[in-house]
Amino acid sequence: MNYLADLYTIKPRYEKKNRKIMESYSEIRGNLEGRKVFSQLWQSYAWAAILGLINERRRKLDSPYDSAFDLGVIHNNGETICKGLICLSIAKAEDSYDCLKDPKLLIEIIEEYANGGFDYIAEMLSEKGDTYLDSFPAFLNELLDRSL
Amino acid sequence: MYIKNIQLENFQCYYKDDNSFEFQNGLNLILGSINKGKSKLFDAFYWVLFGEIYITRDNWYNTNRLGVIFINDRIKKESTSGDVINCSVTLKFNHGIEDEDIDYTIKRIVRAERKDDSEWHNYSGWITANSVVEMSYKTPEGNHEILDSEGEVEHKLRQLFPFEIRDYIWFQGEALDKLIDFSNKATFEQAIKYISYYPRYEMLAEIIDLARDKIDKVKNKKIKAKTGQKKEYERLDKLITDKKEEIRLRKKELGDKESELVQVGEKLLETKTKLEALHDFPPLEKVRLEHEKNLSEVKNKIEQIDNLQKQKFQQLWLLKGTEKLIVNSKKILIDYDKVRTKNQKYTLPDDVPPKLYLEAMLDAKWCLICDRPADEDSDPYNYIQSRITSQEEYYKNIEENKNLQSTIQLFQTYPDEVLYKLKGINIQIEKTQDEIDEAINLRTEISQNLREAVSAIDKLMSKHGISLSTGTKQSRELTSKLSFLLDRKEQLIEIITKKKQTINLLESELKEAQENLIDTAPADSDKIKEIQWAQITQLLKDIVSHVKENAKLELIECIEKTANKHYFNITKHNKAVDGKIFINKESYKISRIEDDLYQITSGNVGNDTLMKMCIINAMLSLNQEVTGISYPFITDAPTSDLDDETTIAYLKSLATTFSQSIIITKDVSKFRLSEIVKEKKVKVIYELNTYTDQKVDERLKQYEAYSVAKKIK
Repeated sequence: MNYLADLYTIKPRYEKKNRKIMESYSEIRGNLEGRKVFSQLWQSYAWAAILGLINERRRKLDSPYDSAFDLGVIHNNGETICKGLICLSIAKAEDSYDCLKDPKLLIEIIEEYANGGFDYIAEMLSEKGDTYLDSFPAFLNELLDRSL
Repeated sequence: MYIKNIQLENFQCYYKDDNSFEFQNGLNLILGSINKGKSKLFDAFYWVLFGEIYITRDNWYNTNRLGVIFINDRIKKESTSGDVINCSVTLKFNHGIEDEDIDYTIKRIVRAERKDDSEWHNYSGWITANSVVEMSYKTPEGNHEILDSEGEVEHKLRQLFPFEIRDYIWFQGEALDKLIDFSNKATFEQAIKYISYYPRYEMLAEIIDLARDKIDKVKNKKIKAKTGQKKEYERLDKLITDKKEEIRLRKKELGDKESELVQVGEKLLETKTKLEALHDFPPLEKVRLEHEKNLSEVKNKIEQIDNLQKQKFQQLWLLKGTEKLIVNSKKILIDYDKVRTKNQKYTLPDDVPPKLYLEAMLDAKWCLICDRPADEDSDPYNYIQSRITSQEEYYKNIEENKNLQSTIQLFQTYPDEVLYKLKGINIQIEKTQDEIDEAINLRTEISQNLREAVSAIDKLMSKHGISLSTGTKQSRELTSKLSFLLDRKEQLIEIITKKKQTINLLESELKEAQENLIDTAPADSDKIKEIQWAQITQLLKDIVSHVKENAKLELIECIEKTANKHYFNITKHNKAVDGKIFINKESYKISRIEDDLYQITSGNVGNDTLMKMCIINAMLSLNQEVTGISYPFITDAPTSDLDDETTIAYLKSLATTFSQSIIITKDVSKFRLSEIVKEKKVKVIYELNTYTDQKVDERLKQYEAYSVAKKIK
């Protein structure tokens, strides 16, 4: 078994209801100069995962769920983000070494934190309004509010 | 002169004869909204005097050609076959002559007989006679005079109300544009001719010319009869005739050239004004273009920074705040080896002895490690078997561990790599934010500057009434046109000067010929008194000519000054109205100008209407001052285009301009009525309304309603 080869072919899953959030903030066709903050779909997934990791929001997936891209896509298009996600998942794994033996366990960690991250985003929109994240400055504000 | 009373009987919308209006000197108002009989009341004044009514948007028509359409519909409908209806208007007015006041009564009547019971509005169902007019008055000697023929009455009315002045003292508001039309200067020229005192000078000059001609004829006849130099006389007589004809022709040519010079002058002014605007425009346009360019650049910059921020956000900034966790992951990865090896106890290596030997031992059923038999299912046998299984596991794990090791080794590089990139994140964010804030501030500033530049250009374009989208092209064309006009002006001045010189020469030759003609008279020619008369009339002609020219200029200045006085008084409440009336003394062109003489080309209908009314009022009041005759000023709705406040101001100004004015209008709102009633200058107020015995919520037919007047003051 080639760990890395397997790792990069696994498609992280998301609950189907969260697809709407991903599409709200991602240009589907990779348009950098479009009006949405993210130019590719996986980026809003990664953002949700990071929000989940920072804010300690982890939840197992409920069906129905779906997947759209594998970790290889993230690695090829956002290497630093991919490496960051891997590091963060290792840091958060209950038994870090199991997840280093079985790539599915590592992906599962990412999935569960992404899931929690989507919950966090939904709560934020509910509190601050549906259009709160319609402009890029709101993303920057969230970023600047994060403490080290 | 003032109107005392008017009474209407079955005239237009006025039913039966109980329609009487009493007036006084001063301002008399007749108020009423649409279709209450205002215009028909105005028609009554005109009809009783001149037999005409005004057809809307058309002209004045003699009612003898209109059948029964001007007779009240209700009375016509009520009539039956054989009935005779009287339609009449009676007007009483006072006119003072040499301290004597004479009261005039004039009545015009039309009788219409219903022929049959066909439809009442059918023209052919009526026999209508021509209108009959009768005037009566008491002479200063105390004689009661009655004029009962149209001719006699017309003659008297011509004396009382000269034909030329009628249109200006009594006019419908919608006819105002025909009286004074800013685009047709001939209307102003005509108004001066008709209603100012200036024509008296022209009349005087004409009389002198006629007298001079007659005197010359008699003089020449007498000289011819008495002269002993018949041939010389004949020659000079012919010469004089030829010279006069030549002078006439040259004067006509001179007149044409002078008119052309005036036109060229106007075009020059117009062209110069446009060019001046274009001169002002290029610097403003340059500034505007500069601001637009800068705005475009700063917008591009903002977009670039925005895109850069998004890119950075997507690729790196997302990880801001994860540094602690990444450090933890580093520790975990580094500790892996330690943890892996920490609890390991020493045991026989899993690959000792090799699998080959273990299988041989099983085959031989003898354990070489503990040196004893290893039969199937015995302890040594099972031990050897487990060693084989462990070895298989071992080799499998080695492969796996090798993979894991390389994965770990690879992953161990990740934290440092990511942390390194995250190091400068805060500075990056701050720097790009500062850049974008600065660009946004700059964009705001440039936008404001651009707005101001555009506003300045719009103001300029509006002031001069020209479009500047093709400014450069226009500038070239106008410069060329200006050059042409200046050349033409020079030429015309030269031509005019030469023509004047020619005329002067001809006139002096004429004078010489005339003197020579007189010299052909015999010695006792001092008995021909016409010779002296001719000299005197020539002197008078020269004096009148000089006075006439000065009088014209003075008159126009007076009209302009008086009109502006009225205009200012009427508009002083409205700060949005600026400028003053300007009348060009050569061309008679009327315009509104600012103090710096720039012509204001953007105006509105209300403003134009007001200017025209002020000019007419100025001319009439000046005429009054000079002639000593004040006519009653009657007008129907001249204030439709004016706002409330201006209407009130205009009405008050009439009270001070004319000794009597009768204003028929709808433009005094109910809210201002009490103010008008209390105004001392307003002497009489009537309110017109519609009376009907039908239900008010039903739409009325013309014959179902008629006008009634109620005296409010």
